[in-house]
Amino acid sequence: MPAVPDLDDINQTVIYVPFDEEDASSDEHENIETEEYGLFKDRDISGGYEARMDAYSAAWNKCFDRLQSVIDALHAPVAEQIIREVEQAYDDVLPGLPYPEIPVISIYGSSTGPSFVKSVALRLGFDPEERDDGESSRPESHVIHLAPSDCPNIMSGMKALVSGFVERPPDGQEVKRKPTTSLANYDIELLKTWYGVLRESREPPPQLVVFMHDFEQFDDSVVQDMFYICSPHIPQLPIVFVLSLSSPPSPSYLHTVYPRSTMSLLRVQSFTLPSGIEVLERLVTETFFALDFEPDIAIGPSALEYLSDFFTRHSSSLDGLSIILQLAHMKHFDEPLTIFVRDELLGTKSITSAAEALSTPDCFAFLDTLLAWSTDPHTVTNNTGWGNTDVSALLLAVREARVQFQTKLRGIKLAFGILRTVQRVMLSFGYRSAETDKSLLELMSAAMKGQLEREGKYLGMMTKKLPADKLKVLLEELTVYASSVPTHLVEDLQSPNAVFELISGMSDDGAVAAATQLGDWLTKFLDEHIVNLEDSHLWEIWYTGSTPFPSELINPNTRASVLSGVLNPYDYLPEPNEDQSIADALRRRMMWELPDTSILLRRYLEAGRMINVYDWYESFSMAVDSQRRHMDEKKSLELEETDQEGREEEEERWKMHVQARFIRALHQLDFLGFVKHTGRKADHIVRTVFDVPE
Amino acid sequence: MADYQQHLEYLTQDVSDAFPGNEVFISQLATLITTYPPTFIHVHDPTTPRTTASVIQTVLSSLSAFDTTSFSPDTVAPQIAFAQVNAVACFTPRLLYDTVLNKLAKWHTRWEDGCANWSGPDDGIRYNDSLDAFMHGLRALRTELLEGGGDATSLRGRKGKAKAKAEVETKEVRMVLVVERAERVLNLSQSQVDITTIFLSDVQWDDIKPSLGAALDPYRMVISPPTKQATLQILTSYFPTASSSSARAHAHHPALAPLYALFISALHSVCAPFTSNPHELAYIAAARWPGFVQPVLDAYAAHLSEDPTAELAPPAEDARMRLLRYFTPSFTAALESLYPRLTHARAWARANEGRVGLDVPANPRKDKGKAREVDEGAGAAARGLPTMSKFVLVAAFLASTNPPKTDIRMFARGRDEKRKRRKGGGTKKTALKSGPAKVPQRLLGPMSFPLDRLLAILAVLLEEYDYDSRVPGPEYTLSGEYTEMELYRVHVTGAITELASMRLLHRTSQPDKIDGPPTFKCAVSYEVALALGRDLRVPVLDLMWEAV
Repeated sequence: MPAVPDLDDINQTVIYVPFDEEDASSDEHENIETEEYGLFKDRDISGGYEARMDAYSAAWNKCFDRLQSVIDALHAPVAEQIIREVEQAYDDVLPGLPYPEIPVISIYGSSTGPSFVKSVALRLGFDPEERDDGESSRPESHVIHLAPSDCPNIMSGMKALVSGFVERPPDGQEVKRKPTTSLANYDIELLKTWYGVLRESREPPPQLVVFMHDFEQFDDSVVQDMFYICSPHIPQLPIVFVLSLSSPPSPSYLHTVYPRSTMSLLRVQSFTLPSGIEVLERLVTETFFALDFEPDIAIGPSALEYLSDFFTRHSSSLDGLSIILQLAHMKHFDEPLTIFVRDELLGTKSITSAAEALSTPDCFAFLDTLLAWSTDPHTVTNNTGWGNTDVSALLLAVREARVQFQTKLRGIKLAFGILRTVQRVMLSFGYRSAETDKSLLELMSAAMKGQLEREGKYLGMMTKKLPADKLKVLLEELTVYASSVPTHLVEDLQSPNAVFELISGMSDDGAVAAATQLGDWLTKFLDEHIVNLEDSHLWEIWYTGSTPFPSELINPNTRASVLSGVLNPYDYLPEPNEDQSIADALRRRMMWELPDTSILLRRYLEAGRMINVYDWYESFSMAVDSQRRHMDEKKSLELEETDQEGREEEEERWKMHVQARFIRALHQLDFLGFVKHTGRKADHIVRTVFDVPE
Repeated sequence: MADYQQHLEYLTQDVSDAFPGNEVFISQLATLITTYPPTFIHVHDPTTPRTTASVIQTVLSSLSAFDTTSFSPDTVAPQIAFAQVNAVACFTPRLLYDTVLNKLAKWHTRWEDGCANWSGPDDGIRYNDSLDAFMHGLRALRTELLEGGGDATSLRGRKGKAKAKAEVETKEVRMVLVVERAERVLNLSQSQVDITTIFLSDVQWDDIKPSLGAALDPYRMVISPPTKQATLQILTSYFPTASSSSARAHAHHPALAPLYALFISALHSVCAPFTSNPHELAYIAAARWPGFVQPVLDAYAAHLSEDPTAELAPPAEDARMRLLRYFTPSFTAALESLYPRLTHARAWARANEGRVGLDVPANPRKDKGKAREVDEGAGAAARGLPTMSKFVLVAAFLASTNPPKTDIRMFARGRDEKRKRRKGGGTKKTALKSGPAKVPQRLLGPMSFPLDRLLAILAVLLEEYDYDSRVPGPEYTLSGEYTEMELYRVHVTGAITELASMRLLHRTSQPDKIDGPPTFKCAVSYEVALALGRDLRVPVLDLMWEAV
């Protein structure tokens, strides 16, 4: 068994309790078979799942790498500052202080990017594996990491601190210490002795950097003692603490929790990571609307909408953001056709062999979908309209659709970039009317739905009315933008280039004409390029579109899930014994068909604010009795006659049986939080759930 | 041969010069230690334990550095070995034993030897696993010191009697936390391990002594807070003349020392009412001085360009007065941000070195700036959190401020109705008149509330003020259903836990108590709650029972 997961750790939004076969080997689980998952199994091809998973990981890794590089760029300035601060921690001390302070660097908002702290540590770090020879031009630091679980008390905290450094021998050779007659491994004197050797052997002497992750989770009394113990040894031991905090910089966690006596030992330098909606906008723009990067999958409006809502409402963690995007990718690859995301060869070498692979009977459903989706319903008027007569032609059509889709997407990106540029320039002129009431992400969604017509027209109109000097500025900006477009997209840009050149050569007199020309071109260009991506052939392969985002997976409502699970258990539990149709599975069950807990809960929902437990028991036993009758009927007439005495005895036993079942079900409801005990009224409990929509 | 007493006097004098204000204590201590030390001394210093610790350290190390052989044989010149340890740092018995023995034996652990502890004449004996072993260690050490120290008379051992007691004390001490405990050895008797123990603490002996008289009553010494004169001397002693070797003019040039003295006394007069701890004052002085002296340096630089041979000299009397007048108001500002460590000295010094001469006119403006800071602080908190956390905080603030009985009136649907009821809230008014004057809840501090109540208020807030900004949810048809769904989502519960760990909410129930709902208190201030409310467009004032 792995260690019990720390359920109080707020940084773990999901805790995975691994399935343990030994635990679950009892009868009740035996019959549930694990089946290969697939939402559209009926029209999948064999091996399609694996192939799609490969395509998925390729697509997601591509997207994730891009995301990561954007995040790194975003954090780079802060990282630079922190590293400089650490390196200078002991060089730059104000003279005249009564006693040396411990340099402490607190990084606020680090929950937006936990990987950030690690990357800083790596850059600071002396890496024992890579640089065993100890040769490095930069003043290197020794870095250790402390996690809250390392420091439940002062002894283990100091042990983690001291032995974290000391386990790397200062002169490269291991010295054997006798555990009993030498310094204890939690003694700071040991660290001092160790550092004494280090200081002589290295020039300049390295700094000791201690990273404390999830600083809010540390026990404050332990940390106070740790600071206190370290304090007298500064600066003989050049320790630098780096605290990673997930709280906002104000009100400051450090000042709230730690007493002044501790704070006065520290010299706290704070850094805050960039956060907020701007970060989200920049990430999405540079990942999905950048001209120099083309992800395999375009994320559609509904996922973007959820992303933005979740980011502002619940958690502005960048990890959360990437998980949402990853989930969008995963869901997208449920669709069997997404096997064609990268190419249409199906892992073979040529279209012909791919076509052969598809020409088996079990692929017909797959081909049917492909054929149906790749055909524009508007152009098909009769049977002769089917353009694709064989499988390889179909595959070629997929290839063609891919090219078309990508061109369209590029056009949208390009037009969107131009629209934003014009908008920005207009705003810089002070034309507030160029503002839209949409956020950037909403604008993006609208662009992908082809719904920016109004904005485009309006901007075109504004452009037409621009005076000459402002027009010039706008043109310059547009030229700058055009020059940033990568060369492989230039063919799409030819028309704008021509317009720009034409106008920039024009004198002031022609400004009105030029403005009209530019305005017209702008309106037309935006109108032509901002189109609904869902109008493309086979868009389902490359675009998540407006298919709903599985938000319940990210942010479920536990109470509602528990409630509906208990009320309708058969929606969740397959009945392996019975071979039943879906309609059968979904029908509403009779009371007697339900498990005990569900029966009890149904009765509960019919009661008033308080429930008399005895009444509850009575109604429960009625339901159970009817259950017994039905079961007996099923067993037909196996029961033989029993004498009167035996029957009474049996009735007695049955009552005990019902009572036991009642108590068990009641306790289960209690555990689930449905029951509140009242001290006031005997034999009554209070309901905690009301008004359940059926 | 020098006279021992004379030596001692010199020493006392030297140490007293280094630590002004402690003359009496120093001479008492030196006398006690060198003559007939009580076995147990408790030094109580409520204000400056850190300074006193270093006083004791200095006295003892000077005493132990005496070479007893150089005195005339008829003088009683005890040889002193001592160990000063910190009870917080020695958090296990083993750590205490190790540290004490090593220090007494002046043993320096070496990495090459595997950091072995002092182990006396016989190698590899373990003295740190129990009190008993430790006692043996002390005896062995005394023997060794006796042999090594040569001439008979003086011995030292280690804390004999105070064994078990020390255990008890250690615990007690840690509880009061700030205890620096010094212990030390003294000369004397043979058979028993003898040692003098000194406790240094900012807590009175009566408050930490073990019950039932389990410990000897100590000889008590009390350090009084430093006088103004002494404080000024201490502060002046921090003027870092050592670093002033370079010929270039800089803030700590020796020629500026007289100006520094003046500066210190002005600073003291402003800040002493708030803190008399010389360390704190020195901290503020260190941060203020570079900015203070900058005009002088600027003037000197200007002068230097005309006359390259000019020497840096302290400014004339009128210039000094001008400087003081300019800078005195900024002392308070420095105290306000540095004493609670809202920022650190270096950063403050940086931030304030450029504002030369602006201080007098800037004074009223500065106050405004502070108000803005508070606002910005609140705003920053508001910006940093996700929307749901902000709602939770506002709900928590309301739950902590409003009496629970008013919830129905304040939050029941239909705001007009609520207003009417509030205005006609006759019952409340009469109750007020009959009772003693009621202190507003906001001044009494937050009340604690159960999670259920927080969620209920949160639901009202979400339904009333968040409805429009939600992603449309057409699948929710019943009124309030959408809010209900939002309310019990994992991330809402997560947000509450997270806020509690950030200490924006205080969890008042024990985390391991699973019976009943957890209870919380709101830990954000009125201003922050208002700022959050503005951000969310929630009229917090209207929702408070006692609007301020």
